[in-house]
Amino acid sequence: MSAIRPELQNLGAELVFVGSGSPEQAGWFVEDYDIEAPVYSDEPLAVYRALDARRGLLSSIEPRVLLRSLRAIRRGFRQTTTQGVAMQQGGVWILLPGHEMAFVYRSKYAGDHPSPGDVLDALESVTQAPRVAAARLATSVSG
Amino acid sequence: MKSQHMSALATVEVIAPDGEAVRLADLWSEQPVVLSLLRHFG
Repeated sequence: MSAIRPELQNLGAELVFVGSGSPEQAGWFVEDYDIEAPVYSDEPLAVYRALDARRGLLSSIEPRVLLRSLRAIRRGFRQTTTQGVAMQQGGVWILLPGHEMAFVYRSKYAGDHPSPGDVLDALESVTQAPRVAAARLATSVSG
Repeated sequence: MKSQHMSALATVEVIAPDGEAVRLADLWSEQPVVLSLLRHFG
């Protein structure tokens, strides 16, 4: 998703990452992957629960999970158990001013992500309204 | 699309790498946010 951050920003949006690991692990993630978008820790999984992200053992038992764990160890992560909750799946949501939800993709298994094109299309279809609302707000505040 | 999910998110706080607590809903109060929930960091 980081690869399309410039396009997201061109559409007036910001990309935000939330992970289930600790704040310190979030910092490692930022450094290791040169992440420029905001990154936050949600160890209590409050965001995951609020958005009904999937969670379960079967969704995590895949060869890719093992490969990624090995890669993390090779890269020097001090992964005593995990850098988050292993059985917790993620996803992508588009959230708008006024607390509207414009796009929902709940990952079904490790490595299941929406296509960047789908995210951009969904954002493009809704960004006009928030921009108008923001312009009205700016006018009312300045006036 | 309003939902119970948005209500549930209203008061949720997350923690930045520097330890600062941030109310997540504040992030999309003025602009759209593409929120990517990661399985784990790294």
